[in-house]
Amino acid sequence: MCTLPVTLGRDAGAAAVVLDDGAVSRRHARLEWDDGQLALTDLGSSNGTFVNDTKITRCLLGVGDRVRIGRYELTWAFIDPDRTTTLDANQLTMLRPVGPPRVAARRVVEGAEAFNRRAGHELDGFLSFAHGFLPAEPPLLAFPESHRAWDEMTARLPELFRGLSLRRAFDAMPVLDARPEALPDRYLLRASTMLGVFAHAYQYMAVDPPKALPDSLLRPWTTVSRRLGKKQPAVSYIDLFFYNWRLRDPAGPRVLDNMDLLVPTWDNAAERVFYLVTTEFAMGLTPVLGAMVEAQEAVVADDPAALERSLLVILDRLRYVTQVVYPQIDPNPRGRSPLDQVLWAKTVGTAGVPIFDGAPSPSGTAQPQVHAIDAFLERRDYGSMVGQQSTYLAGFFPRHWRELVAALREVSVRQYVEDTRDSTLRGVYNAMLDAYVGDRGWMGLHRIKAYGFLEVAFKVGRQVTTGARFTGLFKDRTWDKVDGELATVREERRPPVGAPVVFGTARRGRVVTGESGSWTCYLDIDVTGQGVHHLPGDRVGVLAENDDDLVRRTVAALQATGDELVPLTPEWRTAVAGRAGFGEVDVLPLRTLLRFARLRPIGREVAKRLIRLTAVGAWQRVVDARMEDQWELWDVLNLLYAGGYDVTRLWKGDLREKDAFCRVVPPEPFRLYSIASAPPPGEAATTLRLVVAGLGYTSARTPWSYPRERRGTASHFLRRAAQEGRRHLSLRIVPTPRFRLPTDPGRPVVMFAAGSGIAPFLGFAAARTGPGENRLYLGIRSPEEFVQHPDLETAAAEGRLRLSVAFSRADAGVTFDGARHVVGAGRRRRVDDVIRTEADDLWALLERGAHVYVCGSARFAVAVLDALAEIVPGDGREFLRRLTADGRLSQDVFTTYLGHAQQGPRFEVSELALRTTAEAGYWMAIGGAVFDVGEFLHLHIGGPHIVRNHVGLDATAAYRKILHHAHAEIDAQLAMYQIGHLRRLEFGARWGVVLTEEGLRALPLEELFRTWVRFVYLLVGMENALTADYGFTTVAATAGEDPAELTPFKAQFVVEAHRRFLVSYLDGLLGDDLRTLWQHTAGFCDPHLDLRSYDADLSALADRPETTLVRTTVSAVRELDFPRVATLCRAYAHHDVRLLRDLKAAILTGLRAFETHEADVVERAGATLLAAVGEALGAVAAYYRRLADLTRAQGVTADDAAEETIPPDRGIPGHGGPLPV
Amino acid sequence: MLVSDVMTAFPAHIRLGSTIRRAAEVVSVSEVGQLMVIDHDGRFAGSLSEEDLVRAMLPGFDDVTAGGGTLADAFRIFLEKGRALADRVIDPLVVRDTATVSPADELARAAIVMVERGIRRLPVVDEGNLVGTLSRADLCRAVIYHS
Repeated sequence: MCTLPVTLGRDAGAAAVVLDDGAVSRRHARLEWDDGQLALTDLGSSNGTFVNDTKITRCLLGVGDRVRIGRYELTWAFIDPDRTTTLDANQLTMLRPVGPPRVAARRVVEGAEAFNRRAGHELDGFLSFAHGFLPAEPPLLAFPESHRAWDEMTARLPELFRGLSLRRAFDAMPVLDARPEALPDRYLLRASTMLGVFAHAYQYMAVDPPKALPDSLLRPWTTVSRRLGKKQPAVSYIDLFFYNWRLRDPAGPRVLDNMDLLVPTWDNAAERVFYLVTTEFAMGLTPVLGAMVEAQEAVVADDPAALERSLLVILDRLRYVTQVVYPQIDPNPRGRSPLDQVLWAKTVGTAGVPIFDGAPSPSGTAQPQVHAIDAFLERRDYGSMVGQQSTYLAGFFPRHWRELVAALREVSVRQYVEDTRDSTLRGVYNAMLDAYVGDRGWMGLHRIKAYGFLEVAFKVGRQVTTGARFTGLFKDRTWDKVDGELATVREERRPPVGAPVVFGTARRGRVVTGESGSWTCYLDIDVTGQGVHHLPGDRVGVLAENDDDLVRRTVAALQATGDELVPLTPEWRTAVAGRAGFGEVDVLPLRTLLRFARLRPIGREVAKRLIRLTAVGAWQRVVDARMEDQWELWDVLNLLYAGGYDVTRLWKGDLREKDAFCRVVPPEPFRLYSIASAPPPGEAATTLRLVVAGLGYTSARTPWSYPRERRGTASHFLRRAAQEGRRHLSLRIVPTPRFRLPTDPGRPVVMFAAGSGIAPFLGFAAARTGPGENRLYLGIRSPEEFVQHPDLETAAAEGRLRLSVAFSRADAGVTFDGARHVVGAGRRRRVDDVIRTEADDLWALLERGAHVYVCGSARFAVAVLDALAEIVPGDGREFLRRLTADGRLSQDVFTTYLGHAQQGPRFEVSELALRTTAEAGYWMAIGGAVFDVGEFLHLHIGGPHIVRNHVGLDATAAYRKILHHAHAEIDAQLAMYQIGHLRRLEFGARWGVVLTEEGLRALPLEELFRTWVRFVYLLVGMENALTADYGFTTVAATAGEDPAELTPFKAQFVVEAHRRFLVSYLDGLLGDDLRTLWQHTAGFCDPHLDLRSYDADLSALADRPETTLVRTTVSAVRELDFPRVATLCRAYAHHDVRLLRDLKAAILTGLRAFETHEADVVERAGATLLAAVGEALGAVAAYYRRLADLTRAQGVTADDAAEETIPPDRGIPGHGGPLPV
Repeated sequence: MLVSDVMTAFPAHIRLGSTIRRAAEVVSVSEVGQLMVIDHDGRFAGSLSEEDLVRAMLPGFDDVTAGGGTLADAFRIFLEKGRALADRVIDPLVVRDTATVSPADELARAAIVMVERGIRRLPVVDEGNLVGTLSRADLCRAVIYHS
């Protein structure tokens, strides 16, 4: 209600009735009492005031008149002063908008739909609720007769590429008229796509760019671009993706299987999959557009239920594109739509680089749907390089897209969710945000995937990334820098509403204890009203608390009372904010802090930090022996105190001190458990059931640890919660996209579980109500541990489930009596025995397309897979590889921590380094453990190339870089492939003197050994990369070619790779790494060696005629006739790899001397070490001799050719050319 | 307890302009690693450590490559540099901005600066004149042993 006169407008300062709409002027209209009548006056507004749909300047209002201002339809009522005495005569009632409020974004979309319909084309931007950012009309399939020459060229591109004859063909193509008279508007987009693809094909067909584009391309392309409003010709995201597809079956769905590229370049698998999946990704997000608009309208209408519905649509679509569409870009060669990363790097990955500087690139940052979602989520920060590029590219958007992105910023859904404090909305909003930017959401997945692609691509040298050349030395790891960029960009997106956790309340549960004393706890957590929408198979992270006893011991070991206030680091503040009952706090009492801290076991990082802070020798020895995980924090503190460290510094110091507690000890992380329940489809969960196996063990009696009972923090915490009930828990839902039920409810499902591994299958059994058969094989120890589950009883009673239980320590069995599963007579056996017994039956299910799931310890998973491999006819391993590639074999493996003492065999680095080939097997080391990944590389989701890149060396850094170690579900699988540990060599305190550029230095012998190991790993890394690079010669790079054939197109990449080998690999190796190795080794081993002799040998080598010949003739090779090029290419590929292996063999003789003699290596084998370096140089000389002979045999001579230099990098690798900013 | 209670009153010292050979002699006779240096007017000028003497004899990378290039050459040049240095004056090796304490300073004050800056022996200076030195050994003796 308001008093007359009243001003209506957008500005809260100027108007009494504020209408929040961009179309409303600041002071828009006035209502006043005019001689007994109500008068409405427009105050010169920009968009007008309407009464009964007629624009007015001043109008007297009568009963029933409809007033419209902007999107507001105003109903009004006049309260008659004669009838009521409670109101003043000059008062009047205004009501809020009726009907669905139309937000700005809706007006933009509807406006665009109407405009495009009227115009008969979509040149101002595809935009509609039905098709999102994709064309409403499918792309045209042909030009009119006048431009048939272009159409005809399309089909020939692959063949022209293959023979490197493409430029000649375009030089000969007629120059066609692209002016409006000759080419109507409706053909413009097709022309733009086609000419853009042609121009880029012309530019990038050969490694050397052409001097200019031919008239036949440049003239029409320029005309078309200008007609589309582009200042310069450039391939846009629309050209390459949104207007570059056609439906195989026009009536069929817009999905990968029903699409082809409209204008393919090479028409190879990488191109098809990469482009079309990107397009399908945008198609899959189409419903998000409508849902974002509806969400904003729900906010304006203050309708939380409608908002929840819309957010759920967005969540569902984000999950769909992330988990169904995007994984179709599948680096697994056995996958349904495989994409070879090397092929991608050499072809598709470089195709979009703008030809003209400053032109926009079709980079992923140009995706309009991502810009729209960013606007909806109110991203403000675009400061990173990629962020800036993103803003820059958005400046080239067509009109409708620009308007939409701006309009989506007008309503803040986040603010509304925050203000309402509605836990359901908050849960759904944060889940949606997580699905977008979370570690396992779209951006997280994209970052990991992109990292894999970039790493492979840089190692095989995309000579042009979407803008930059790869010229750095091999060890510079350019791809890490690019990945750092992607991480920053993710941080730039909007933070969540409150802490991204859901709160649950534990109900009383039950604990089942077996004969051996091991126990399992069944616990229900109430999450009603928390907006938890999870799928069967998902996991829940639980923030555990340490028990009072452990906290008490730790307080005592810290020599504190527990009441001391300890300041929190940002990491700790975030973690504490996620605890039920705690908000944003800066300090906590020590006792509370210890409840939330990770006190056991001691992680490696904390262990190393404590060494740096305290320098206590006893602890250093424990950590050197990798036995820190036998210790708990209070144990260690007592040890450190005995060694002279003042433990009170940990809680006395402020945050600037390196030994402030929060800088040393991290907060307890979320511990993951499979959810053992399933909500009805589409509904929020009210209960999460957990099956928690108790963890208890005795730490080992060794020189570095003593026996003591240890308990798992999280399992004992949850057990306490189940016994007490009503405890508040902080939870995080963690989606497991690789552990999902088949979408087809008719498919059979076979589940294998051990112990608490039954958890996800309880959820599966509840969710699988369709016609498909369900088998569950459960392995447990004894009948006491067998528990009847209502979900299983129901499913069995309805005939949906067959349960087989194998007791490993009791002669018993389980049968179903029609209502319940009961324990009866039987024989002791294990699940893998059952698999062998029921081989035929299981094989029949597999043949019918069964999905197989394994959940249990690593050892159990290995046993099940081994048994499955045995029972299938033919090559069992190959069968499992295919099953994995089809997404039909899912594993949820967990580690059962057994302490460290059972370490198994020890291996030497010199042995590891040899395991880089199919014949020798593939091994790698991670965190000191050795893994045989020969089988795993066929199963790796990221494809075999990435695994192959890291065989034979220490892959710890790469493994951690992509957070595999932080994801328990991934990390636990490692145990399946572990074969032992790397042996740690003992060098005592031996040292030696070396001469470096900085003068004379004393170096520990151990450091000399590390220099050797690093060098070997560098060689192995190069060998792996080069093998992948030359592997390109055996893939089908263009449609219709025999993969084994070395085409001119592929040959040019071999020449390029060889050139890179000489410059980027070999020069760095010899001039830098081997030189340092030699200098240091000479210092230790022979004081009478002239340290300059290495440089002298190296320059003598460089001056030899055969070296000169090899290095100066690379570019000349391209001018030879093709048979000779092919011969030389084969020689390059063979001898380059062979050189790296020869170098490795030479250096390994030295490494073995270290391994044999350890501390005495200098005295006993100094000569061997020096000879190894000499052999390495000899191998290089022999390489040049061999290649020179082969080169001469092809009639190539050095003449006075000079070696070509490689131009410097420009722009952001992987993300486009240099920006004109 | 004050510095003056504990300090060594007749410190090993040397004058600016002395030869490095003389410095080496004082170091070896006095068994003190840090010599105090006074100027021609007898005022405190700085300090000279045996570590700096030794460092001055170590050849650099270019010295070694010019002198034969082997590690054995490096060891030989070390000896030669020692001989060559012996007749030069100490002045370039003197550290002139040394931390000092006054005789009236509290011992603890001295202890702190010694530990934090890794100083083994502090000059005790009174109105510009060297009156003694305070070593870590002096501190240990006075504060712990005689306590």
